[in-house]
Amino acid sequence: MMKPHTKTLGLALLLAAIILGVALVVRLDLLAALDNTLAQRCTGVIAGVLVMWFANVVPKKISAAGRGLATRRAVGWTMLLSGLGYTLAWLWLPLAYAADTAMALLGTGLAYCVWRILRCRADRTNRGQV
Amino acid sequence: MTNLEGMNQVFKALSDPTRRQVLALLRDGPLSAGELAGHFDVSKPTMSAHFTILREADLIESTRQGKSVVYCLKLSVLEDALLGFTSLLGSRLGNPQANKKGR
Repeated sequence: MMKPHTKTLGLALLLAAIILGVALVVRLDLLAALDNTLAQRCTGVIAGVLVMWFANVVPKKISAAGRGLATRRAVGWTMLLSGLGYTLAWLWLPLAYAADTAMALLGTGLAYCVWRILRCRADRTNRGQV
Repeated sequence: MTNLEGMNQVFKALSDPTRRQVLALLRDGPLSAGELAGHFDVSKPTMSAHFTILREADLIESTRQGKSVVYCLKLSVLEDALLGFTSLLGSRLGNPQANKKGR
């Protein structure tokens, strides 16, 4: 079994390697060899995957002893599906529509989450639980 | 690997119909150990073992309120989806009539 500090150290080294790798790619201008649209799509896909990653763990990490459970689940699911839509839009749509569609999907998901959180807070205020 | 062990614990926890039912009951909100045990026809030690497995898999969390222990759900979105999938699969495999109707 891997010790916790060994795992943390490994993760830190991996992150350092990624940062150094990206710096090297920029320094040597390796992206110039790639098509500009491909770089744009890659950036969009990475951003979408990051949104999905964080949306997946949000309901587990923000645990408040069962309070607002339905809201946390709704927010997690909404953001994960929005992230998936964002990723797929950048993957498959023509570049002219990809950015607008992806942002519209993410914006709609975010707006729905904000509405759910505000409604949850209002319900709790009405019940005098703040 | 810690992550693989964690995944094994999640799959082990979700493989049992009683534990899946416990998670389904907790979807509606936190419940005490006694309230949860009331839904099942099993002994207290067995129920306690189920709670331990769920807690070790990090699918539920417990808080002590006075004399009772209150459990609440602690699922990531993927674990939630996995629970839904295993429940669906489990109910269909466990009920041959439903399988026949579905065909």
